[in-house]
Amino acid sequence: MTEESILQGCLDNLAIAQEELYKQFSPKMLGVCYRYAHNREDAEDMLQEGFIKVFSQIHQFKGVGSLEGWIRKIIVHTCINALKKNKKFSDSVDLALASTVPINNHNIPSILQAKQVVECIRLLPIGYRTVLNLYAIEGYSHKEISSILEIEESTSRSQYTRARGLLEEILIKKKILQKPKEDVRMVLVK
Amino acid sequence: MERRFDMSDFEQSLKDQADQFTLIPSRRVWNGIYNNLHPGSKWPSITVAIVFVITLFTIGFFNNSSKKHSSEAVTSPTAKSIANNYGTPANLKASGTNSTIGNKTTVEKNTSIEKDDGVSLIDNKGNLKKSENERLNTAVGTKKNKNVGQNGTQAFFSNRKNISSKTEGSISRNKIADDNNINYKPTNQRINEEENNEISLEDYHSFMAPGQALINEYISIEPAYNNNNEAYTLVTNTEDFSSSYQLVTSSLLETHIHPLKKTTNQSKKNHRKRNKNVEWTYYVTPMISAPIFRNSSLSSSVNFSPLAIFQNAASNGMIYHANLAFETGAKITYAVSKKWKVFSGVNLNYSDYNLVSNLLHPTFATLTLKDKNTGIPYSKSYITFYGNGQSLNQVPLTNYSFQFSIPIGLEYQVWGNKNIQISIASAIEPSVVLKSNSYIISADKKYYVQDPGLMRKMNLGGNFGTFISFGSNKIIWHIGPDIHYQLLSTYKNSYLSEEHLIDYGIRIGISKKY
Repeated sequence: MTEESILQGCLDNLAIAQEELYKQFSPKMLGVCYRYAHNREDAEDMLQEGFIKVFSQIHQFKGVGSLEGWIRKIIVHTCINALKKNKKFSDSVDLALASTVPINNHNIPSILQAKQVVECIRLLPIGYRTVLNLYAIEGYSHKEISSILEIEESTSRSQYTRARGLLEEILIKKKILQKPKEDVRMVLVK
Repeated sequence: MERRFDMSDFEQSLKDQADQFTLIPSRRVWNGIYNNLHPGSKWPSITVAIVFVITLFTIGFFNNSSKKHSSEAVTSPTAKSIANNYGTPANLKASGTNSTIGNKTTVEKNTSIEKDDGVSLIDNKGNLKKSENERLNTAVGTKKNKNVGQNGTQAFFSNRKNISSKTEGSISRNKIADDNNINYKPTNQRINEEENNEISLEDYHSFMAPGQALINEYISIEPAYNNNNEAYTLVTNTEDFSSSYQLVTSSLLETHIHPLKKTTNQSKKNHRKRNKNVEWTYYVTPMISAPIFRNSSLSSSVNFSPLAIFQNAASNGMIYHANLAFETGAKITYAVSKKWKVFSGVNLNYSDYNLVSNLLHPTFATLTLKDKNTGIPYSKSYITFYGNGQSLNQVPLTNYSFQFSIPIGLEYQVWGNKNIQISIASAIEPSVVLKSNSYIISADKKYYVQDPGLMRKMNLGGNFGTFISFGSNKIIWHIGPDIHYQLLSTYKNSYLSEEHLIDYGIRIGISKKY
C-alpha cells in the first residue's frame, strides 16, 4: 500500500490501513518512546496512547512535511505528557537537582552502537534525558522546550549543557567515545 | 581505540544513532489501539456474557420449580382417584399406563390420570363404592390388611430382586433409564458410554433404599375398606407418582454421574490498554464449614475452633460435626477513590458437614411441612433407613452444597503505605446451587430422611473479610481471614426449620501489579 492509500484508508477509519500505518512506523516510534520512558512497558504505553492520538487526529495532517515527522511530533508530546502526568520528573529527579544524582553504572549490551548510545542516554536522570532528547535529537529550540516542559529557557540551556557533558562522560567510560587530546583543544582555543 | 563518531558533530551523530534505534512493539499495543478505535468489537463478548448470565438464571429458575403436593390428599380418602393398574403385588405400575418396573416395557409418564371430581369413593356405610371396589380389586389385589404401599414396596423390592437375578453383579445405568423412560437431570442426556456406565448392585440397592422414602410419601395412611372389610390404604397423589418415581430413579443415576464439571473456556487475553484502577485477583480459601439451624425446635451454636471438624456437636437429636470446605474464584476490583473500591467476579463454594447416623430397618418417618398456599402445617411420610446416630451401626451422612455465585461488594483500605495495605471487604453473593444433598431430621428427631424437592436451587450469601496486601514488583498477595454465611436457608420455605451454612477460613489471593 502506498502512503497515500494508507492515509486515505486511515481517514476512512479502515482497520487494515491503520494497522499498515502502525506497522510501518511503530518500531521507530517505540525507539523514540524508549528514550523517554523508565522501562519498556512504559514505552509501549506511551506508544499506544500516541498512536491512538495519531489515528484520531489523522484528519489534521495537511500534507505539510513528512507523515513520519508529524507522527513523531505527536509521539514526543505524548511521551512528555505521560512523564508529566505520572510525575516522573518529581519522583525521579527534579531538573534543578539533576546534577547531584549519580549515574547508574549499568552494563550496556554491546550489540549495536545505536542501542548503546540510546542506553547511555537512558542512563541520564529523567530531567537531563528529556532536555537532551528534545534539543539534540528532536531538534526543538530552548524556547520551545521551555514552553513544553514549563521551565525557564535559561534552565533548559543549562540543563542541556550539563546533560551533554554527562553523556560524554558516560560514552567515554563505556569506550564508545574517545576523549579528545587536550593539546588539540588548546590549539583550537588559541 | 578508534573513534566511533565525530565529536564536532555531536548532536548530529547523536541524532543519527538514536534514529537508527528501533524496537518491535508487542502485540498487545496494537490490540489496545484497535479496541480503542473500534469499540464495536467489544459488544459480542458483552452480549455473550449477558446471554450466559440469563441462561444461568433461567436454568436455576426451572430447577427451582417444585412438584405440587396436595395437602388434602393426606386428610381425605376422597381427594384423588386411584390410577388404573396401580400397585398389583407383582408389579408396581405407574399411574395411567400399563408399564411395570423391572420389566422390559417402559414406564410412560402419566398423562391421563383422572382428575379429582370431588365424588367420594366411600359409600354411606363406609365401604368403597362398587365400581371403585372393582377397580381396586383389579388394580390392587385382594390381600387382606395389606398396605398397598407395602404391596408396592414389596413389589418394588421384588422387582429389585428381579433385577439382581437378571444381571451378574452390575447393572447399566442406561438400562435403568431406558427401562423407566428416565431422562437424566440436569443434562437430559444419556450417560456417555465412555464414562463409567456400570454401577454395582450393592450401590444400586443401597441407594434405592433411601429412595423408598420418596416413593412412599404417596402412601396415605388413611385406611379404606373394600366390600369384604379388608383394609386398604389408598394411594393418593398418584398423579405425581410417576414423575416422583422417575425422580427417584433419576436421582440414583445422578449420584453416579460425575460431579458437574465446570468447564471454562480459555478466554482470550484482554489486550486493552491497562487501566491502573482495575485489578484482577484470583483467590482460594480453605475453610471449615458448619451449619446453623434457626428454628424454635432446632438450635445450635457454631464452633469456630479449627478442631471443629473433629468434634461432634449435638442439637435436639442431631449429632454432626463441621467439615472442610473450600472457596475459589476471581474478582475484578475497581478503585473509585483512594480508599474505596468496588468489586465483582465469580466464585465457587463447596460446603459440607457430616451427620452421625445409624442404619435401621425400613422405618416410617415424617416431616412437618407448611403448605405454601395456605400456610397450614401438614405431615409428610417417608420410609427411611437412617436413624439419628444414637444407637449402634453408626454411619456418616454428608450434607453438602456446591454453589456458583457472583459476588458484588465493597472494599475499604483501612491503612496502608506503598508496600503494605490493610483492607476490609464485604460482599453479597447471589448464587446458584449446582449440586447439593441433605439429610433432614424427622419431626420426632429420631430419623433422617431425604427430600430433594425441599432443597433450594438459588440462594444468597454474604461474605466479610479482612486482608493484608503486600507484594513484589509484579504481583500482589492478599491474605486474611474470611467468613461466608448463607443468608437463605438450605431448604425451601415449606420446611419449617432453617439451615444456614457458615464457612470460615483464610483467603489467599494473588493479583498482578500494574
